[in-house]
Amino acid sequence: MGLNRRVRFFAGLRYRGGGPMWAWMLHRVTGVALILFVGTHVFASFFMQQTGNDFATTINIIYESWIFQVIVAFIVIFHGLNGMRIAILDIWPRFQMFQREALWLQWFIFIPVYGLTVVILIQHGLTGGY
Amino acid sequence: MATNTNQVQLNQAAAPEGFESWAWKWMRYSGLLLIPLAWGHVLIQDILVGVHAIDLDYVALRWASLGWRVYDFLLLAFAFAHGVNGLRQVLNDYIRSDTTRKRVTWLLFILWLVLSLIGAAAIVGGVRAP
Repeated sequence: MGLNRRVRFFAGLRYRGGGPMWAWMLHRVTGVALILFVGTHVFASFFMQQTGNDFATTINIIYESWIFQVIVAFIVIFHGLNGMRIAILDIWPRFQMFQREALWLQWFIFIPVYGLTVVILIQHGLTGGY
Repeated sequence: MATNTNQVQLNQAAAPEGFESWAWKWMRYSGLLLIPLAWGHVLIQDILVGVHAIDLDYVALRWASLGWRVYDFLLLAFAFAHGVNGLRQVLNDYIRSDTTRKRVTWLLFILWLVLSLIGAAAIVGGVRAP
């Protein structure tokens, strides 16, 4: 089952796939990060609501720090936009001929949306404490 | 640079129907649906309301309306079904033995069930901590 070929981690990074390769890699990393964050978030919320558990409260305090919020916002916005690009190109394959342009458009949308989000999150952080 | 449209269509092979084919499609369609659901959740709770304004009273107030409970339930169901399947697809790329793959699939199935049930219990049960 599968390819019987071992590519070492650094050998894999030397593959010159350019922008689309890095988008693919970032999509995987942000995806795994999201399932960890969201899983922890649901566990912590559940125990905080149902039992008032101290450990759950500690996790939620970490969640509320502005640094954590800025990282989560990057992951959520990138994974969503990149996933939208993948879904659109896969559902309508004739747009594959514009795949390089689609990646540029994606970053063109990402930068102002994420920039504005960071400004608002830091403002909340400055006024809200932590 | 741009590929010819006819060439793109010629290169398409018919994918065999089966579980993996459905899982692949599921990631695209559920992902598109998660964009309004997950971004809406982050936009409202983190950006418009702000995490420092959220406490158990706020959650109880929001869940007093059935519409928000349904919204949160949909977000929960789609997020974990998308996320745990995504984690399975990522891990399958790095697992070489069929036995390990089966064991990991079972573990992920249990993780998905536990996370979904805990989240559902919180949404159905409401806020209980003092």
